[in-house]
Amino acid sequence: MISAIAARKAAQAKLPASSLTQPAAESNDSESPSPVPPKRKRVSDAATPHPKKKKKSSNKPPSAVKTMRYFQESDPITRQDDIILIESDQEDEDEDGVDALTSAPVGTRAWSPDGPVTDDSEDEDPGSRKELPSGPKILSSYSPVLNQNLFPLERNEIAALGLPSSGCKTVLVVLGEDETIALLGTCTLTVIRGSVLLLGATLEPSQPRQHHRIFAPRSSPIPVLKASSSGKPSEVSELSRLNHAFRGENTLIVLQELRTNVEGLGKICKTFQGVFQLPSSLSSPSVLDLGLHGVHLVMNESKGIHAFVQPSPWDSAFVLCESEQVFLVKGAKKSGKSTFARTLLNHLLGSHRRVAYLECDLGQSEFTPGGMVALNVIEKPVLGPPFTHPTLPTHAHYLGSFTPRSSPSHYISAIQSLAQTYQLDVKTPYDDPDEKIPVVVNTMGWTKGLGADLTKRIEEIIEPDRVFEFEVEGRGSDGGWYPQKQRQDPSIPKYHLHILRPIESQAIDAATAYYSAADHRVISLLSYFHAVFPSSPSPPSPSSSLALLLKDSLRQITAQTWATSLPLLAQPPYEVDVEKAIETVHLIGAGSEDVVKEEINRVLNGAIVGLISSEISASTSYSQGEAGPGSIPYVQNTPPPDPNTSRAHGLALIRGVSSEAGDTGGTRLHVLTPLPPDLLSTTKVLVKGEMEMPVWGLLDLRGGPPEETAKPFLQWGKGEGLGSEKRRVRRNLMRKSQA
Amino acid sequence: MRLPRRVPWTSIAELDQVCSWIFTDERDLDSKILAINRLAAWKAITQLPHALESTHAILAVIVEDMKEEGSSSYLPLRQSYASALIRLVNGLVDPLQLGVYARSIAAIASQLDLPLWLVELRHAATHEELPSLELLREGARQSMSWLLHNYWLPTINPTTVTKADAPLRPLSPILKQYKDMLKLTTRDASLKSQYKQSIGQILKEVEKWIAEAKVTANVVAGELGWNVGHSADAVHTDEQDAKERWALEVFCEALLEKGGLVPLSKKRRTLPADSSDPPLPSVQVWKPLLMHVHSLHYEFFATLVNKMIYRLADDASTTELELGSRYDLSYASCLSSWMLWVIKTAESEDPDSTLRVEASTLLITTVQPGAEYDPSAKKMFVTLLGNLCSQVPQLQNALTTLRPFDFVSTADWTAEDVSVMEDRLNILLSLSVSTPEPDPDEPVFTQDASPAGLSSPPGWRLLGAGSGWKPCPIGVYSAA
Repeated sequence: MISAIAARKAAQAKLPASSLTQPAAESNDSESPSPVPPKRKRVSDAATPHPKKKKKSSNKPPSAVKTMRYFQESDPITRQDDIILIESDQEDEDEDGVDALTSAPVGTRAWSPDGPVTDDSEDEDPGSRKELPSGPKILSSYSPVLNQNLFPLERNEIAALGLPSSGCKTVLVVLGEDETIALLGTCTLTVIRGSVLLLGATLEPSQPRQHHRIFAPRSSPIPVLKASSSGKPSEVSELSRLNHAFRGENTLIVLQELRTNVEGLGKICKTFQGVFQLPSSLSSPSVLDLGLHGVHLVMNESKGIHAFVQPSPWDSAFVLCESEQVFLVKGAKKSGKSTFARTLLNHLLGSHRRVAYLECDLGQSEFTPGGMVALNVIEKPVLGPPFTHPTLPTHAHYLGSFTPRSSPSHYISAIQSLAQTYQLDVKTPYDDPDEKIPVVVNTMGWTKGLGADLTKRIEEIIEPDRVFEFEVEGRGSDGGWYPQKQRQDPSIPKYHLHILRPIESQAIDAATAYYSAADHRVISLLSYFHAVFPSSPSPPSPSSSLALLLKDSLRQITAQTWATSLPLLAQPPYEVDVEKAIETVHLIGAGSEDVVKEEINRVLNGAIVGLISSEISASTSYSQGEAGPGSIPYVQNTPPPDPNTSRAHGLALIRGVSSEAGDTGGTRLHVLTPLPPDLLSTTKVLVKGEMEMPVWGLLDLRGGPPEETAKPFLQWGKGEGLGSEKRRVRRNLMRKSQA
Repeated sequence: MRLPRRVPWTSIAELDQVCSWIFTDERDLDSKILAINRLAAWKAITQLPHALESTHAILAVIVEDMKEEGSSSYLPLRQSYASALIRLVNGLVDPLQLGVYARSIAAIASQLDLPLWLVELRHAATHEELPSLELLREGARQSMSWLLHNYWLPTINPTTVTKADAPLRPLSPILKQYKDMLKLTTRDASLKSQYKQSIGQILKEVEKWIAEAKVTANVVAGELGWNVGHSADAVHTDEQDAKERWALEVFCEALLEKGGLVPLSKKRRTLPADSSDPPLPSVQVWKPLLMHVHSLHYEFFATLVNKMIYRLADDASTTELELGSRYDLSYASCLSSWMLWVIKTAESEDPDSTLRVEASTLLITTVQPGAEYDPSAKKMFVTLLGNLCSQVPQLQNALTTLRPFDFVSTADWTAEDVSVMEDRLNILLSLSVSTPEPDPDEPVFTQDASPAGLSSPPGWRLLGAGSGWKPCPIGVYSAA
């Protein structure tokens, strides 16, 4: 089977360009590496029909099927420079398909006299037709056949390969060159031989073997993994039982079940229910089972499942990133900015041990929940959407809002502080002065008015070596980026500028139709509060605390599992003695300066606060004499902690505030936070901003939909009075005269 | 599932308290300041309903004004008053700008029963001379009174204040005007250009009526539940959808009256022999309107088809027939031909339209096997269902299996009946393409027993098992 596909692919590659030219391939053709020279393939396997496929039947006339099949097969092959192999110009490709039909068999014979026509007989296999319905794009060119290119591994083999948990089901997948696999669900990936490309990362075998956690929910475009050039064909000693089944050019990867309970978030926030599972509407031919729980092989793109398509100009943009240190990504929202930044990060991790990521987008942060600007040092490729990898920041500041609109100067000084931290502590790490850690800076999508000014200020602070800008208006017809384009403002030509075209809005719309930015903010926040961070460093290093690991050793600490069996309201909180543990409380956000001291307990109840550690001791910023001991240390209208002398560690939910006249003495707070206890001893400052806990996080959905009875702070139904709605702004209202 | 929304008060009693602080004694400065502080705190907790925000803003200016006797400059005061009043009116009016085009603020204000001169004051304060202090003070007083009667009291005592019937002007005059004009132009094509503008005018008039009906839906429905669709943010959208649906339903009902889509005169209802389409003159008259509304309202065709089916079923049920009235077969057949036309049109625009399947399902379930029907109506239903399913083999299969109108009326159930039903069920199940994914056994996770070995930092104590802490809603303090 493998060789049959490979042979056909090679045939396609060899075809005269006229018959197969992809209209979408345009600009990058010149830059793409020349097609891989065809290799001789053994075809003995090819003639053996598939036992699996035979069961299915098809009503379609063979000729029509063949047409579709050829064009679809041809699509992935002609675009070898891409990691992901999907194009959207369906109609044009249909036309090309006809050409491909007539010319393809000729091509086969022309280059491979001893790869005889039996190859084609495989096409007539009635079973295979069903897998290629006319519409959807092919995502996985790999088609699993048990004990031929898919092998369940035994316990001793799993242990011998050094895989994380030998109890979970594990399969070995044998990939031919350039074969692709699209996965939905969660799993661990280990590369045994050869290398694979995935979301910008090139994953290769390493000693000790690296395990990569893949999270592929339907709520974001799913990743497509592609086997790339194979390394030297070496025997895998641990798999002696199977060595006879691999050919030299095969890439070997191991997929293992991954149980993190991240699916449980769907039970907390029903909007994301079942995103790690197949949509119930999906018919079986588009999906195949690998025999693993929690992960599916997706054959075709279909309704509700979209694959990540990496635009081809990105590759060539990455190539130029090898020698530089500071990269900045900017552009309007929904242009693919965050995705590009993540992909660039993965790419850089191919040549660097660690890469820093500076998040300036308060709304959709990659590693932290929203409302923070954060500097993270990342060691492992990021293979999933943001809510699947909440990570403790190396250094961060809490703004308390999803937009810098109400506190632009605080925002800028926070970024200034992070940029300084990068320059001083991260760029040349303390523990390894030879290492140079590059940084990827992601900016916000607010590109007009004040937003544009802020982004410009950030650029000046960061002093990037290279800027990637997603252009919205006036996209060039050539479609690619053009390096070092002269800017109108001649004062800032210090860096290389690349203009990138936004990801096609159509693709974005399709992928994000069901999930808005607000939905992703909700799931990120809930994911953060349900996350379980490793409370002791791994591998264990005896001397240092977690805080030191983050700050001095620049370790990446990412949540490993999620505790979702209990809703937040049933999770045991910390009881915090305000007198002992809290030095000051600040409120930020428009209108917060009007909150008087008598009302602070009420305001903090149910609030999300940032946990800040400050170098300035309490005595200077707050005098205990102003209020009774044990009351909440708050002074009306005080500025937030100075970013230069403070840092945020994470968020907490104050789920209860004791009444002031408590019999135990001072005020006590009941607090939920996923932060390891280690870090809590330093966080003596609380900052409450404009962020709120989403309603999903306030509910208990264990027994089905909640009863619609009055609960504190929750109200069902709409108030009867006029003006009982929250303010709503219409910006697209037209005058009649505009009709 | 309906989601609640976050409010800053634990119970409505807290709102009541604030209300009494504000409105009990107009001269009581201290309690007004208490109210301002409480409203400021609530605002820091979560976004407030617009009426509360406005109350807060106006109250703050009033208190400032009361304190400020003898100040040398009153300009800041006038500006504060002006901006509070502008924001009040804008915030009330903006949510009701539901259409594509702006409606006049005065029109919306009159629907809200908002004093018109407040609208004028808003205009003056925004675009003209800043109004006098006297005028602004009076405006603030009237605004507070409006807020008391239209927000505070109805919200605190939901049942005591009954709403006046929302005036929704009748649609039939607009439809009649439209029909007459279209009849003219279809008979004499030379008139087309002459009437083009007035027809456009009428279509706009229809659009205006739908926009008004949407606003009325707000009041008529009293409390519209909001369904949670895909997105938590979709709350607004869903609410809007419900209003739009209501408006479209009223619109469709008017269209289905005799003299609407189906002509009054029975002669004119004669269907063309060669197709299942409605009579050609009717199509010529109504098509422009239907397409126009469809282009602006995505759900229009679906709503129309739904209403048609209910109308057909209601008319046919003999129990519903009043004494003396007879089943109007020609009306029913003409209406069903319109239904097929609508479905066909929808499909020609969007090949993926599921309208046909939905209509068939609804028809089968609405026309109950047990109900008493006029015999000619039964025949009509069979033909209609046959027509509906004729192009779709899958539906046809289902239809032959179900035979929904071969009414079996055996009082005694036998084991055979059950087996027949089971057979049918199996056939039907095999027709459906997708089978729901069985929920795989969720891996059982033990709750992370939390770092028991690690000591908590000073002042922090985890209330784990044995502490006496009990789960309770967020915002409630359960002492442990």
